[in-house]
Amino acid sequence: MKYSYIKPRHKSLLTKEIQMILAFFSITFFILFATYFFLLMKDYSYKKEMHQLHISRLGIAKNIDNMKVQIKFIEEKSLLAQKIYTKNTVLKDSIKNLFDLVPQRITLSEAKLLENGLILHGITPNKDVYNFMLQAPLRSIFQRTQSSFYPAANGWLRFVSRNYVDEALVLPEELKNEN
Amino acid sequence: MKINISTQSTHLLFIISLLLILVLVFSFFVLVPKGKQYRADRLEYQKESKEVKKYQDIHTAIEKKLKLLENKNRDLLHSFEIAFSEQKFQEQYAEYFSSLKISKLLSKNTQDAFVSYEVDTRFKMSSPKSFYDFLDALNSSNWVIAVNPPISFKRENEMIQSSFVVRVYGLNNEINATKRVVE
Repeated sequence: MKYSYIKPRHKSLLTKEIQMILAFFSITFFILFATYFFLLMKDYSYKKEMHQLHISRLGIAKNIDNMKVQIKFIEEKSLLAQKIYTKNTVLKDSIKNLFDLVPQRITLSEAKLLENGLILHGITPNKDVYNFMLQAPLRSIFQRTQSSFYPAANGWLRFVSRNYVDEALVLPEELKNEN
Repeated sequence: MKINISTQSTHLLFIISLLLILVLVFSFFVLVPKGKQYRADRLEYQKESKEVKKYQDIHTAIEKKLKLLENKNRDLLHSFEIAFSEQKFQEQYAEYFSSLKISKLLSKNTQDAFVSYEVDTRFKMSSPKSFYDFLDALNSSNWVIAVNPPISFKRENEMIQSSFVVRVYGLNNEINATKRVVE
């Protein structure tokens, strides 16, 4: 039995308005989720790269420390060698000066160059020659000078001259520590 | 005035409101905090990159300095590394003297970075220059050698007998000294 004379129109749950709304929100959600995943990926990538950078920085820092140690070592060795070479040269000059210091009329039989002094054994025609020609220059170099004489067989005088400088004037402190 | 809203429109309004709320919630509670974290991470990454760049620059500068020092002191470092040989020493410096003897001294101090040797020499009294030449030659030696007082010179007829102590510095001595300290 029919209640209407017209044919019923077809009804759908997804009307055009609903379809438009769903399309709009689908696109919106897609963009939102895409942005979210982009951020997630970037975040993960930054964290991973940061970790690598951190490891790389630690490695570089360690290398820098090692190189600093090597530089310090080389500088120390270079300084030590320079000090040794200078000391050898100074010693050579001291010995040269010592031999130049002794006048023709005085003959040395023994000389001992100490860290802080000089001991000379020799023979002199008389005390005056020794005092004027050897002791005078020695006094100008050393702080403490002590001489003793005893007669030699040929009528000349044998002498022992002990000369010292104050410790602080001999060598710089760092060279002493090395010694 | 009475407003007539159809059931369909009500449903439509409800769906729009629901989806809008979802969008807003997702945006403000998920996306915005994530975005903030992303910016913070990016800043931290840039900071770390700058720091690494700074370290790399320092590394390059120090490496350059080290290379320069190594090149400059290559022979010197080599001198510290070469093992001392009494025989070679005698062969090398015998030409300066009439006679040359070298003997090792026993050190009481085991922490020394050097080994001490006693050197006995004889040279002609008329030519002390050979002794000065010997001291000069020591500075260009294969080893790092220091002549240490006391140095004694004794006249024996036309010859001068001289004895003194030389100290030979070497890396091996230092390593041994360090080992002894550790033990």
